[in-house]
Amino acid sequence: MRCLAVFALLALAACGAPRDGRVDPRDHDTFFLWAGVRPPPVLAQARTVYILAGEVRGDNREALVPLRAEVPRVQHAEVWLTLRAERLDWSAAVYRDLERQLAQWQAANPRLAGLQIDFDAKTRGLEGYAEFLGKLRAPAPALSPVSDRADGLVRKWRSRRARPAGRCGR
Amino acid sequence: MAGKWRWMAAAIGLFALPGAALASSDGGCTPRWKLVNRAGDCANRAMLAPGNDTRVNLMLLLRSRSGLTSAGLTYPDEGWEGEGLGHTFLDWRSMRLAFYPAKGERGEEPAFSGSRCASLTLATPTFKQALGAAFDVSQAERSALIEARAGLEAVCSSGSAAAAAQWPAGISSAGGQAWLGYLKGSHAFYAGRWDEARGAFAGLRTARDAWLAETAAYMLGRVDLNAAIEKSFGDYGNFQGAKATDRAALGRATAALAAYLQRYPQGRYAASAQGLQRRVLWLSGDVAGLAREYERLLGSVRADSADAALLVQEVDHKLLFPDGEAQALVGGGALLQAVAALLDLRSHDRWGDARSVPGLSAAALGARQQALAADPELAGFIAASEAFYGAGDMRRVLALIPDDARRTSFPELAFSRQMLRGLALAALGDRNEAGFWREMLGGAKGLWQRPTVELALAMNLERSGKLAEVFAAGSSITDSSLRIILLGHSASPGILRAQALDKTRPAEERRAALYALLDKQLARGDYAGFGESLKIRLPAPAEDTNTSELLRAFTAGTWSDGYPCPAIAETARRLAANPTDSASRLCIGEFRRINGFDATDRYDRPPAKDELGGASDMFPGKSLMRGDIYASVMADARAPANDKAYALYRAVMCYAPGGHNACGNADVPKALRRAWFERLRREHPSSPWTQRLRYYW
Repeated sequence: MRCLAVFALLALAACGAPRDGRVDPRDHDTFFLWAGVRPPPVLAQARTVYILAGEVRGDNREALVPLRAEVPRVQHAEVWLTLRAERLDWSAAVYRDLERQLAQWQAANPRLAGLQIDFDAKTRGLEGYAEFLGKLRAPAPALSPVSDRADGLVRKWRSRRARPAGRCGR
Repeated sequence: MAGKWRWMAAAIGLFALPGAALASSDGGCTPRWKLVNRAGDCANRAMLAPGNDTRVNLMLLLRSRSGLTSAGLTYPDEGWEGEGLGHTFLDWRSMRLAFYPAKGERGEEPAFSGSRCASLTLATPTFKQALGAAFDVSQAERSALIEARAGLEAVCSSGSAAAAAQWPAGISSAGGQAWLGYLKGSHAFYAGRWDEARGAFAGLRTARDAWLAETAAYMLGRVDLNAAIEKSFGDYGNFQGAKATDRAALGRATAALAAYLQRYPQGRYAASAQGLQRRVLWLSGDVAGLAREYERLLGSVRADSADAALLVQEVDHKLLFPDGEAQALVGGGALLQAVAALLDLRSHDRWGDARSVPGLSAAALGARQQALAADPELAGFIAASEAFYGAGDMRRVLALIPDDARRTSFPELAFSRQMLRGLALAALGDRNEAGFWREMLGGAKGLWQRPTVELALAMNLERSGKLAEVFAAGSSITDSSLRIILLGHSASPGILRAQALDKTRPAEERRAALYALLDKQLARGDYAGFGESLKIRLPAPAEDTNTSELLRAFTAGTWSDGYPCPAIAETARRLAANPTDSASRLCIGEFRRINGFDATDRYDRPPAKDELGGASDMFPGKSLMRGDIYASVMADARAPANDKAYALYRAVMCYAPGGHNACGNADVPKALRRAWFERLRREHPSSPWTQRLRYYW
């Protein structure tokens, strides 16, 4: 079974998380819910929940592999549909399935806030990232407008590429 | 880790453009380089172990029982994700890739994969073919029916049960009416209107068309299976376990599937219906029944087929961790009970919390012993594992597992048994431990096996002061990952220099040796030696590696970005002549800071004592960290004022911007950082460094 399942999403402050001792989930209101995990009670106090819906694996660009048995229906918090991706050259079928899922999630979650892509790859894999963002908008009208914050993130990543990545914690 | 971003998250505002989020965390695996694995980390051992992923343990057992050998298979190329694992450790993913390599692209998932709608598009050709063979339906009616079926997709696409259907007018023949009735039943099924679907399919069981009658009988089972789980999912789309199942609907599904299989034992849906019966067992919470069925399937699946991996995955998900948490196993045979017994020995759960497993009842313990008795070799291994991980009784391990190290090959169970015996010898400090590992090397030919034994032998040599043997010509320790760890954490300057120059070793190993040598000579004050080592030039790789990037810093790094410094070679030359020269000392700090060495403290933090590389460091001296340099310069009465000011400035900056010390030395209290800040302003009011520093952290 996977080692890490639910963790408090501390955004950039993740690097400033306590070095010793553990994060107390009660101190947070934003959470990431992994697949295959019993949702912990602390989610009741969440203001935002990122919910892992599926993944595109490195060995198959044509499949969005579902990781959640049913469409969530969260009323009390803002919800982000999260996809984990090991590659970005998705086939049309993946975009098609993503669009469908977004429609279903939107119908069932009054506060669906957005789509989050966890891109899990080497820095070098970032080359195709801008093109990927463009594609993500193009076929899916529901995905526009895309915030220019996303582009800001791209810039942020690029500007930090030159440095060897620091590690969070020990 | 240099040059790598793990777990990057892009947030794309969708509807309301709320705050963007960037999550960063380390998603890769950094294993603990040791063999005893009770806690359960991300890295699995090639031997059965409590800390292994239950899927890995089950797969090892399944392959062992089938007599399959992994000798001759190749290690999978997992890209960066498997990088930290070397060839010593594995995970479920690398195991599947190695045993069942994909042949080419696997192709698209069917539309609506993972939901009941998957059958809608998958079965389209079958539907057309069956309808085409229906002699009592006219061509016009067929076209209209096919069009109507295509219209069902709207239900699945929208996810809305309310999607209204458009039914064709003018279907008048009795045959056509029956097909239309089937489509109406299908629409109700995909839309989740169970009563309506059930009614439609029930009426069609006696249809004149054989395909319609059989398909309707099968669909009755699917209707009630879906009805049974309608309320089984929580707010997060998570399955809530058997307790949430609708028992009445499940009963109807059970009956419908049995009726279908009785009437159509060789039917076109027979295999599917049998699979759905397994689903019924799962949904009804019949753990023993499900375990019996899985044990049967484990006995019949071909262990060399990818189906084996799918089955193992299903067993894990449905039987061992049914709703994300471990479930006590009732029933099942030797394989499942062995996996459960190992899981019971696991000391920590996946959150890192200590795990307490309630002891088995006498009845459950008896059932486990009885199941295991069918396989004495496995039963002996489980008993020895309980002695090793549980009671810590190493002599009992030796008694339960006789020496069988000199084999020509090791099936996984035999390998696990001998590894456990070797680890017991190690725990006892047996003087024959190294000899035992050397004997095992002869037969350790399966994937991950040889590096596993090498790790055991290397740890023994390291702990018995025989590190030179690891790096001697013809050494048994051939695995680069192991050698690189020992080069970084344990090797003497002499070994490092010899390894850097050894043309018979892989280039990355030589670079690792040279990097460790240069880094430590500079940090530990052997400045003359550093100058000599700089003359060693190794060929650059075609594509940068972590080590080649770092190595380049010594010859072509950035020397200065404000405080003036010469090349690091010149800095070292000056320090060789005068080790207390404050400017040159500061320049060492500049070199480390500017070229990113703060983030690569890998040699300054030794592994734990019980891990490879954690026993001792034969490289003399103690590393001078940046923070130490600044402290010494600000305390140095002979240091020029500008150097003192810069040392104060940098010492404060160590804690920018988040209050975490990036300078490698022990943290100092905030009051001291404030004192530095104030001293800088007081003693060096006109220094450019004073002007530049506006805060302390």
